[in-house]
Amino acid sequence: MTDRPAQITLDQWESRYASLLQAGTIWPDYCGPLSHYVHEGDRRLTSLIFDNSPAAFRLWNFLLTEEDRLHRARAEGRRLVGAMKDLGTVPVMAFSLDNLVAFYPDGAWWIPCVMELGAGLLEIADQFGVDESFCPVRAMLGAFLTEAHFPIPDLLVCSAGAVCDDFSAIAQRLNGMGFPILWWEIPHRRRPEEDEKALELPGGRTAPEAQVLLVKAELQRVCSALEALAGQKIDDARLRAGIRKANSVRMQLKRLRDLAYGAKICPMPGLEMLIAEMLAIHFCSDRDETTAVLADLLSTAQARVQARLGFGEKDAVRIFWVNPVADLRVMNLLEQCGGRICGTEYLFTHALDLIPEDLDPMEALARTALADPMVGSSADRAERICRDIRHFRAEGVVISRIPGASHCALEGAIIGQTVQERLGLPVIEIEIPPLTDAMSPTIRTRLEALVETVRSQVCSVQRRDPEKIINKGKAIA
Amino acid sequence: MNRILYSSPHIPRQWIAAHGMESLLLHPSGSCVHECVRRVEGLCVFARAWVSEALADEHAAGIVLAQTCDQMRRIFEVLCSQTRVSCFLFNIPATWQTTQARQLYRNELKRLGRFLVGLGGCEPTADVLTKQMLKEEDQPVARDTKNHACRIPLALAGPHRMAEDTVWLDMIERSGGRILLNCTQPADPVFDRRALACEPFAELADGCFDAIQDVFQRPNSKLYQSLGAALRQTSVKGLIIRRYLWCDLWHAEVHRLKQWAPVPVLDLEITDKPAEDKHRLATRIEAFLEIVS
Repeated sequence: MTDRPAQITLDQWESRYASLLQAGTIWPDYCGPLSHYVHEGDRRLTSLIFDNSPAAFRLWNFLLTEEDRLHRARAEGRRLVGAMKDLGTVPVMAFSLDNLVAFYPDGAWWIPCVMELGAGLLEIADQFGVDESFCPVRAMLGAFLTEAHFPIPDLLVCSAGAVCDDFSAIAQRLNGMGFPILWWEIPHRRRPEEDEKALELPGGRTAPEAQVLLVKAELQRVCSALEALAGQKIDDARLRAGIRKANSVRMQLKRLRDLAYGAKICPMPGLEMLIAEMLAIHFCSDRDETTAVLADLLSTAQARVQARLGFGEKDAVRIFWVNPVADLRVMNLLEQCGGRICGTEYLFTHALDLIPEDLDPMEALARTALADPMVGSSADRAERICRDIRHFRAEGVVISRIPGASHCALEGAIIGQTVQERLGLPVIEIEIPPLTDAMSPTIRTRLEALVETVRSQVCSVQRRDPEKIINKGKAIA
Repeated sequence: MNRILYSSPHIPRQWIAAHGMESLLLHPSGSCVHECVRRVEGLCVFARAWVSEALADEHAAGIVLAQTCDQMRRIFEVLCSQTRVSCFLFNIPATWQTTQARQLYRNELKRLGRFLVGLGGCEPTADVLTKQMLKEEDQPVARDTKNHACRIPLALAGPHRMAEDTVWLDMIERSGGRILLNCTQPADPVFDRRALACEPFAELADGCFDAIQDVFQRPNSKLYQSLGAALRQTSVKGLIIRRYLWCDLWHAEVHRLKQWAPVPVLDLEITDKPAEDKHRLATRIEAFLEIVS
């Protein structure tokens, strides 16, 4: 990969695609001009700027062809599992069986953004009384009712208990409309009491043994349903193999994140990194291809780091981003404002942390499910965020608020306060709706203010202690 | 006697009392707002009011908050950060059809017991617990002695009440209605006397767990079953869903309830601005009563 990294528009990708094809670049069958998706309604693509690497092109095509893959899987006789809410655990079990494919209908929350409200999913949710006071995941309701964005799964599985109210309420409405759901309990993760045995979770936290055993039993129940659907047993060996494969994806992502967020010059833009991280949740319905897509991205990022090539200014402000954005365009906007992503917490760190391989596999999955940042307290989440901020040497924090989300009312303040108290970093909280066009000037101003604040702090430190600045942004990779 | 404030009727008061402590199910009035939640956007009205009033109570020995929704779970953190009073988050399972859920409820009761003992409560003997459970069962039911013959009978559903509810309940009365069926209060648990004699704790846990019929449960079919049965047994002319702003769980169900209920349904959204609510609610109630009469 010798091309200079750049962020290009959809139109520019059209000509680049043609020239790369002519030059002999080979992509998998599902890859084609991105304009194809715009014609199908994904109009937001025309407002985004994309990484110009063939690896990123493959990533986008992989993401945008998921629906086709699901239909093909069904046509080939495989059964579809709609995992809901747990973000990363149930698919590991489902993909351990030969003829199951799992995906998250939750992903429909991006449809209003990607299709620029063209799909009418939010209007359908409105008609069913799920109005804009709910988080954009209400688009899922419309997606189920129209059956236009994913095939209706053969089995729906949803975690309940310590989950966000919006999702739980909407999933319950689906249930009330006749979509059967297997509910499984995920309790609020609490600190072990003095007389309780504490078990370590991926990501460094602990949970009482009783909670781990409860979740293990619940996952066992989910497992039985998956087995019945697949007509095949998940024995320990099979589940261990599934965990190993999931971990290999997580390892790839760890390397990629360390490169992208740690390198002196950013080798991969924040938008592509957001998409790449999402692959960890359910492998975009194809685990093997996820591995290949990530391998491509990783080698591109490695090549760029070695060549000291990348994006943005050298002094781009290192931003840690909390929560996924409902509008993908905001990731571009941050970079246009002089920032770069250096660390993220998109609510699924438990899908990025390695699943323990030295434990009973079902217990390992139970520990992973309990490590979900949504399941624990905001203080726990803030602690992890502080740790990752230190790891990636971020200089400022953006907490993107999800409109209407039950957890956003209070957690932003707790996370922001913790970061400020412990690390002294500037923090802003911005609400990001599915389409930010009308608010773009405000969001831009706020992001610019953060970037300016960090820069002025750096200047002031530089005046006092030049040594510190030399060490600033030292590469982790 | 040490007083324990608690947030949900799904936490058995008998269990608290058996530890020798006074229990107070706090129905917040919404009249005071603590500084820590004053400017929080998107916070459920009930959660805001509850935490504000719990923080204002300087005499409580302990505070027990039930995790029945995400907002109450998260307000627990705020509570802990603002008070010196010992706090306990009771994990009420959302699922209810499995042995795991039942066991979780039992375990949480035991954990609550340890918390109460830590606050100076006495570990209850089987005898004390049994007596307490029977005593609660024998409480006389308050009867409404007013003459309501000419008023329009209504049913009420929604989350647990706030003290402020009297304002719009008065509005209903003034508009010619009356609440004949109040489904915002959970049914009292029914205990098996023989089982109670053998294993009172198990009977308490199972009886209270089985009595939960709430919107947060998954699936929430028990709520519909109990509400449906109650509506069939009475001759109400309309159903009022009283819900608090930003309570997603009830808000999402309103549309379904409107389709499902055999009588007209009125959606009453209570905000944290009672003065502004007053006229809006009064007009809606009057219009509703005019329609159903």
